Amino acid sequence: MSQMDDHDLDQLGRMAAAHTRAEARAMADSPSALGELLARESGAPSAEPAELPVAPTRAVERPRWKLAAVAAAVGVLALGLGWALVNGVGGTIDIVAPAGTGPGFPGGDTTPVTSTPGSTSPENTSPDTVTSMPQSTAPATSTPTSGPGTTAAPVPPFTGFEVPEVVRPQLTDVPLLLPASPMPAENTYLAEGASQQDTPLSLSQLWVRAAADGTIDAVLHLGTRIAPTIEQPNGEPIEIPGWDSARTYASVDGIVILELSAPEGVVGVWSQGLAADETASIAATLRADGAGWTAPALEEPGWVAVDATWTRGHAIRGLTTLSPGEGDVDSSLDISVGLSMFDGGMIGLDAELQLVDVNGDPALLRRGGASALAVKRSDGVLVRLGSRDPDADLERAARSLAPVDQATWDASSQPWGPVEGCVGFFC
Amino acid sequence: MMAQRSGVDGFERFYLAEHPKLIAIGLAWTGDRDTARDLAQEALTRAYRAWSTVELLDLPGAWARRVMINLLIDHQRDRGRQLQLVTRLDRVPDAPPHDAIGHWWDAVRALPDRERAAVILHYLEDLSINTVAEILEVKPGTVKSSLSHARDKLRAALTDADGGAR
Repeated sequence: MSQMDDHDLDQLGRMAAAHTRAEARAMADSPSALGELLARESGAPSAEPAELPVAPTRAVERPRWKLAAVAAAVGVLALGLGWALVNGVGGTIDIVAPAGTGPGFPGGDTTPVTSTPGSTSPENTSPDTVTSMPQSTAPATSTPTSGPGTTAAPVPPFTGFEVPEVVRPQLTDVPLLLPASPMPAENTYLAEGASQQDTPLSLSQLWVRAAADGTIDAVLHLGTRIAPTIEQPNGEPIEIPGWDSARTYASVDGIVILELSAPEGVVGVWSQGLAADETASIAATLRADGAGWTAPALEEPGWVAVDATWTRGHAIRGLTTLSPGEGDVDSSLDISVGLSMFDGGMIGLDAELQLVDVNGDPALLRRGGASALAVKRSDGVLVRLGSRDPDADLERAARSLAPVDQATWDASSQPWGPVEGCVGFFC
Repeated sequence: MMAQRSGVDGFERFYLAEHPKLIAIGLAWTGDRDTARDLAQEALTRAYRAWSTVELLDLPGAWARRVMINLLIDHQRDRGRQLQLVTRLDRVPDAPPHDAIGHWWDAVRALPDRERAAVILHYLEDLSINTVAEILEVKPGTVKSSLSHARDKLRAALTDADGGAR
């Protein structure tokens, strides 16, 4: 069977483009769209933008176009394996809520929107409760500079937090890690490294609710912003006690998105597997606790904090394995600082997530078509492994990762070639 | 006030020029008219909100295209709608039945995101390699190799679709 030549291909492409342009022009002829936009936005707060050209969507937070190819083919499988070591802190940091701070800003002294089984009132949290929380790049001790409940002095994004020092990671902060298992010589291994600095300060926290066998039935993410949904870009106001205002954004079934506003900033709440009233209940009881938010419900058995990342940028190393022949991406390893587990499409509608243990750190394992694993190590390093093989033993690979020197790392792979950008699983 | 007024006028001109182009990108990417229209509107809304900065850019249209492509990627990725988008292809009212043009866009939509973006921008808007590179925030060499890989895949897919060369 002979193939089309380049000329035929170009002709067909240009013909298809002409057809689509004509169709688009006809669609754009509706004069009402501009009027609707201006009318809607005239009531919106003046939006001093954002830094430009900032990625207005989560995709932009990534340094380059990773994932593109493979994620499309494999379905979005981001899940990473985050491990933390960069600062050599090692281990989980215990954050002690200062005595006498009460429920804390901004959700304190409020009643949950609804009474939800499994959630508790703020008073149930003893002032000296110890919350164990994976901490990214955190100092060895975490004593809040101003206690929870403080609402003065707007410190971005909120008061009451201790922001870790290392929030502008450099590539040198990212450890060189390789799996212990042999790397078959017939494959091609491509290495890349990139960093991005001075993005707006942000906090990303991720919790999962897991059964005894590790099966995850609910996910909750808190961030410093949200991505408005296409279904309802402006959201709808709702009442969440303790917050100046709140909006809910319609999304697909099973996902709840809330935007909580206070004078000091915005908290974006994203949940999957929780009812809207459960999510609102958690939102109403949030309190600043050391280097992040917490809520009584999140301290209930079953909930596990798997990530807490403060960042003003990120640095990432990637090692991508290409199979012989077609050069398809077979697997990839990302090691990064400043990225959160929520980045990269690890969490999604089609995700079958399981909580697993990787050298003492909670990790998310994702199955379905391909496989992926993400773990935020206790030193703040996020490790993510992805494989086209649905049965790949990523847990073993993750556990076997060990530091190597630069010479070993360089010898294991070749620099990224003419095709730059991300072609791994976690773009 | 005058400054604001002229800013709005400038945005209106920008909107009228870019709106059909962004819809075309959305149509090419998804094959779904509603999605294309909604995301184009969203991209332009973001441009409006950021207009005081966007209008100062050398290529404000490039910024809008990047927003549009990011929205398209997020749309398909975060909502797990890839399958739905494929199934919606049959509902595009004005799309020709699966003729040569239909096969072309089907094959384009099967490409990885970066290759798809490069092909759409290159063919749909006849943009230079350098401009496509600027929009996608990659090097020109990357666009070249993406287009090269994409053309190989398109050639194979279209040959398969037709059962042979045209």
